Amino acid sequence: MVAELLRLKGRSLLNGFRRPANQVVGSAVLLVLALVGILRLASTASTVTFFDGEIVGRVIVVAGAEATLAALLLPAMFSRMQLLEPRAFVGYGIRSPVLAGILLLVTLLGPALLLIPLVLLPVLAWRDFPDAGSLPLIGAPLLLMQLLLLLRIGSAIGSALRDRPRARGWVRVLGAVVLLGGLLVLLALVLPRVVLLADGRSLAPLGSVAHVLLPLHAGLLADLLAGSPLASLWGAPALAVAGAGDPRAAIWIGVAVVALLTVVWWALVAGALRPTRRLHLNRVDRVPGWFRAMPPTPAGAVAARSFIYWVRDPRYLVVFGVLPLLLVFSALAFWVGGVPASIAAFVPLPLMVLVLAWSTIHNDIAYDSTAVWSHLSAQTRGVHDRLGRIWPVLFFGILLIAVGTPITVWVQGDLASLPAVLGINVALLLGGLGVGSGLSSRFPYPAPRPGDGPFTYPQASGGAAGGAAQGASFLLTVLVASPAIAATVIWVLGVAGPWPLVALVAGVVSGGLALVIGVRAGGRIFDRRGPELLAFTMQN
Amino acid sequence: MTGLTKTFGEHIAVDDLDLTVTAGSFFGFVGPNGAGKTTTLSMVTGLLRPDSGVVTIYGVDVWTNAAVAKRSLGVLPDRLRLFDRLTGSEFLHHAGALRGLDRQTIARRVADLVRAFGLEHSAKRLVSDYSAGMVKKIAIAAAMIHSPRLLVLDEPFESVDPVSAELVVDILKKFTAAGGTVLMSSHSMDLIERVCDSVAIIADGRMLASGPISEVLAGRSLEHRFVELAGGATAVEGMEWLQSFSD
Repeated sequence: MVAELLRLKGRSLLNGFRRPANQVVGSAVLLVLALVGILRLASTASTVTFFDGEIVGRVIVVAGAEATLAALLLPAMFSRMQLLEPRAFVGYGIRSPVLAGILLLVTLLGPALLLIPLVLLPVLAWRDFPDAGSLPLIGAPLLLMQLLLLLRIGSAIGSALRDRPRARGWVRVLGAVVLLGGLLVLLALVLPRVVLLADGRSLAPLGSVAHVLLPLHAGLLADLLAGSPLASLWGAPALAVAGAGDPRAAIWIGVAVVALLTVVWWALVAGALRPTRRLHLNRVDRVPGWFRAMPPTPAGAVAARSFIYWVRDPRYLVVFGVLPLLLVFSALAFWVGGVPASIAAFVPLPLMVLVLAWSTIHNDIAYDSTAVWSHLSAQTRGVHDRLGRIWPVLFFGILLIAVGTPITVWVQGDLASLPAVLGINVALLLGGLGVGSGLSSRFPYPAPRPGDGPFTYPQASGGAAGGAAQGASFLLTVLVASPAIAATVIWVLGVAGPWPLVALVAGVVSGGLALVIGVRAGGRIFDRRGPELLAFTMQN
Repeated sequence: MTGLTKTFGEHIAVDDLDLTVTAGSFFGFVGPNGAGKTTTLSMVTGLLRPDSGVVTIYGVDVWTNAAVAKRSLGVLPDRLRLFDRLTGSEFLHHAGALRGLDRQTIARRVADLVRAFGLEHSAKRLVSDYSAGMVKKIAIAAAMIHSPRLLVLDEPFESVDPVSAELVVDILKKFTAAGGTVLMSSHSMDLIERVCDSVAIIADGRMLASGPISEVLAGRSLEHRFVELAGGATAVEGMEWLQSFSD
């Protein structure tokens, strides 16, 4: 079977040349150019050995990261179909791990063969550095695997994007920005050296370009990349030569990345080989998306409806626009104020969680406007209504915390802060939801109506009560999180003790309590005041 | 309903209204603009709390035993919003799940309703993109999804085209023939006269007449009876200036 597939691949490669003459010439020229490029790179790599290890390592890391990104992004941006698409083998009964392996092998035979000299370049470049040892040689096969896998995954993404022109446009723009950015960083690294070498000759314009690129902090970036999953395999020898980090850990990170990519590729192949299950139903008979995902209960219906509104209604979507702004502004404020990162890092994520949890749930009913009658006429229990509305916020909140917490801890610089960060944010999320659920059914206030812009000011005035309720719910939410915040502050001040753990426990307990109490109380109020709530929404 | 009263500030919207709708009847509820029709129906359906009075549906009080009463009640309110950022089929699924139906039942009934109301091609479109008549139809469909015994429909045929209206009337007639009860308000006297078997006329929050349609009409057309009872003819007095043209 392997032989069959190889023959198929060879045939399709040869067929690549059975085209109009100008296209054949074009492909041949490209091939020659690529070969010349690789040779040129190889000769450069073998002459760089008289530089110091630092610049060699940095250039390899940045160029390697760029190559890695390109292997994923270029096919994702431009490939319209995969060569030997896994789905094409669905009828042959080949098991998915076998097919995944064979397809990878087959991919190698073709233009991808040029990857082999590419991954051997570091071996050439490091050959006069005894400290690098066998690390470049160990890295080369792993790098080959990694690049091959990325190529296949990238082209799978590309072919998946074929029918989604808008997403494809975004991928192209973002991919181009990332790749061009990488090239700029590479330029910023290389140019100063070139200018230095060519001192006395007329390379002054290049020098000014290099000067412009200085703010990129290319050297710093390269050092950061060297240990990251993106370039750890490229960077391992550099770490060894510089004696800075742990090169063996870098290799292991690389192994983990390759393993992860293998699993992803395998999953893609397995997914493509899965038989299509046709539903014995017409189009209209199928359960629409979010309603299939949620249980068919009143709470599930409210949750599904909320989710749909969260992704379709600009009044909810605006929150996603505000969150990054919060991040930018708080970072700017701390930067201007000169607050050290170890303290400033704690602030942006809780701010974002607070805004997400507090600012959305408490005017949910007002957002429904008079449509809330359907809950009333179905006699939806208040608790179900509250629980359903919480779902999307909980989902996005957990996502935000899951992404934000590692970043916060990384910027903060101390792994010990992890429980404290988690504690504060969980308390704010659960607390915000609890307080919002409790107060919103008692003190709703006017909000932009459905169909209005998110920044439209409601015509009916909420009066002082509405504003007071808003302020009170904000304060209450912060109050719920205050034990966790207090414990964290104590820890930051340097008092000994397991304060981060205390913060975590306090946050989970106070947040959980607030959520349970808020949902139950809010539910009861909703049950009792249903008609009054409807009357309220009719006024605006 | 007995002794139903609602005041908004000084204004008495519904004044001590009594009405009995017999099970299995197709009941029309008519009255001039601002007569208190929507207010009455809102109180009957548990959406607006009455100042006093009792509403019972099949022997169950709507305001003290809401959970039980509302199970046998399907509602189409007038001028209240729907969750219109859902697609038609999502909207019906939402209504079904709120009523606690299981997934298969919902899917089957949604399919039936969509076909019955001729919304097949719009089931995947957002309700906010529907025309006014289609919105009415999908809302009536949602009111039926839990197979209630009583349907309370406030202006179900406003801006519904004649073909669709006929379709809905057919569905409702079958519903009453099977023992269901319909209470609907409308401005269209012709329609009420044609499809309803009983009728009530209110004006200024007071019941003017109610009973089987033949009794209320007393041999004349509903339109004639309505104008006569509601006293619309007097409004023309004092408008003489309209007859002396300004040029």
